[in-house]
Amino acid sequence: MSCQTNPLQQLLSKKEQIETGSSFMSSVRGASHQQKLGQRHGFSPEQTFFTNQQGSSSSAFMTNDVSSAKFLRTPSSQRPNQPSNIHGNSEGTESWLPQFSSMKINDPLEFSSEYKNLYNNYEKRTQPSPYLQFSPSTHVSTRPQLFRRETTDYQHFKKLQLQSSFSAPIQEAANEDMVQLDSYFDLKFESLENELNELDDSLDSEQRELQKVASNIVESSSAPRSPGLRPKLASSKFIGLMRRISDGVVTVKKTENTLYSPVNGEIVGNEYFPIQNKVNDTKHLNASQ
Amino acid sequence: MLGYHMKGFSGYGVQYSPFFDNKLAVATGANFGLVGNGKVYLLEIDSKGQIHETNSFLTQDCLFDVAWNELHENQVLVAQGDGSLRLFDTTLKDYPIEIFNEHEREVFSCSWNLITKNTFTSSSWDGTVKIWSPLRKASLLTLVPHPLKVMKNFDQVDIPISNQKAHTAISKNKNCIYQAQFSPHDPNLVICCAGNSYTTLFDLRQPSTSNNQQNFFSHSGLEALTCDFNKYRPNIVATGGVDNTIRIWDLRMLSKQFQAGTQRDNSIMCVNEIKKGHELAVRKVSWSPHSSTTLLSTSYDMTCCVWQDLSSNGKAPTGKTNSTDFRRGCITRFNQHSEFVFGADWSLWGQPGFIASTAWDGNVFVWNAFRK
Repeated sequence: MSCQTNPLQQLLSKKEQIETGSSFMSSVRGASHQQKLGQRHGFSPEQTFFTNQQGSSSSAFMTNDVSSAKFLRTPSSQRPNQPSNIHGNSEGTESWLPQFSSMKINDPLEFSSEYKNLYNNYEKRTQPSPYLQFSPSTHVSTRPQLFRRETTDYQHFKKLQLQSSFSAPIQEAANEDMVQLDSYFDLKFESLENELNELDDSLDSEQRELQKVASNIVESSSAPRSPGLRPKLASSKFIGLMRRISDGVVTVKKTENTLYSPVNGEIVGNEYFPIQNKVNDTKHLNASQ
Repeated sequence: MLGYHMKGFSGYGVQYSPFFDNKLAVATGANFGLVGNGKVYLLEIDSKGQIHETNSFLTQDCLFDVAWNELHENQVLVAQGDGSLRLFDTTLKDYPIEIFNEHEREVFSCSWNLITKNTFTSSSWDGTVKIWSPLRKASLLTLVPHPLKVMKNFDQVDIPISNQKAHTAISKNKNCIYQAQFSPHDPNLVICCAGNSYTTLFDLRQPSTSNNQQNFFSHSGLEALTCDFNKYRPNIVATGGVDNTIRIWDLRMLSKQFQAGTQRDNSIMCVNEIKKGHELAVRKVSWSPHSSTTLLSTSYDMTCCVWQDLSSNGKAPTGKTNSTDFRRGCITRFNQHSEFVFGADWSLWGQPGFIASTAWDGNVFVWNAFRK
């Protein structure tokens, strides 16, 4: 169905979109609002999202390029951004329907039905697994967008739910899966958050200051210099160290008075030897003075 | 050229012993002085021209300067990063014989009074200059420069690579006093230069008010890192700074300005300047002990230079500046160091022109400025 271009279908879906989507229109504007809404209704945005993953367009949420995914599958859903117009005309849609259904559009550029079927099969085969999609790095970086995307596509979602031939048991099974998935993602997210926090904590203000200073030095050392100084600066161990500090590969460990690599914990440069803060007995020296 | 490598330590200061022609003391810091131990090396040059380590002391923090006791041939003073000054006896091991602990931040310089030899001075990042006696744990006097105008933002010149910890924002180090030194002509005069680009002349006979000093704006708003009294002309000082320039000043200009009382913006004209003599900041200037017109400088551009002050012929002003010379009065440029050159000292002994220099590459080189 994702490639259907029948205008009737389009209109139908538009109507459903209005019906189901209008109540959420206000929430479309803000992701946070939508989140709250989800909580209030007892489902997390992820849950809502994954219960429909078998739907042909669920990958719209999984891929980064939402707009292209939507475009391919249901052109009608491209217009959630014009709610007021659609809403204004919704009452008259019933009378248009017979007219539109009898219409035949001769699109010379339309794909053959055979191709469309093949494409549909292809689409179904290549549904991405959510586990594969969420590598830790993309998870963290795209998490806020995930929410936002979901809200904008909520109507799309609802419509699919209505159109799909899901039976209740499947839905339940999917829900169970969802709970697992959800907890999996929550755990993953928490661990990554902690990791990030630890990383942030490991760089205290002094270390950040050092890093800033180091990058300034590196920057200034790359300014144009005379032929005599340029190679010297390029091979300078100090500038090399500054480069590594500015890259975050090396930082200072104030408690141990050393430079170390936060990556592997190894000491860089000299080891620190604690020295007692005491003085030599100088009685005999004073006598000689 | 003779050389000695101090493995794992970067040289900050070097000084010839005032008692022996073959002894050197070197102040160093681990990890380029950023963090870690310090070490004071006592080196000896043997008759074959080899340099040997005779003794060394490891310290809690990096060392930024060194000064021999002018009254005691075995005592050497160091300025430490933890705010203390330590006096070592070179015949002993491990620990100092005295600790002077008053500065609140890194001590960047220490130097002995060459006339009344029972005092020394120190300068620190905490914005103070202190006068000490080796016999007392507490300082004799604390001097604070009061420059009338804190900052003037003149044209930004090149890169401000300055001291070891804060190379970038000049304003952060404006209180930092990089060097303080007694006049070799008058035991009551101390000169110091600071991160706010001011050089200050203190008169120790005056009570500790703002009247005990005269400030002049010396390095275009960038940090003034070093200053030194001319050993033959009592009124002449040289300063060097982050604007890569060495300037030579006549202190009599200060008193004129003071008497006139009209122009109080603390800007006096220098009598000579060596512009673009170094490509990066000038870290140390030192007048020759043998000639009134010869000047040594070290720089972050990894070279040491010996200059002829062309504004004077030793007896009278010539009316020239070093800009009139195509080499800007450069006699020798020493470029054997492979990191920033911090310390250098003229040898008092033998044929004039021997210089010991030390740099962050951990090398101490002894070379002659006039031998081609």
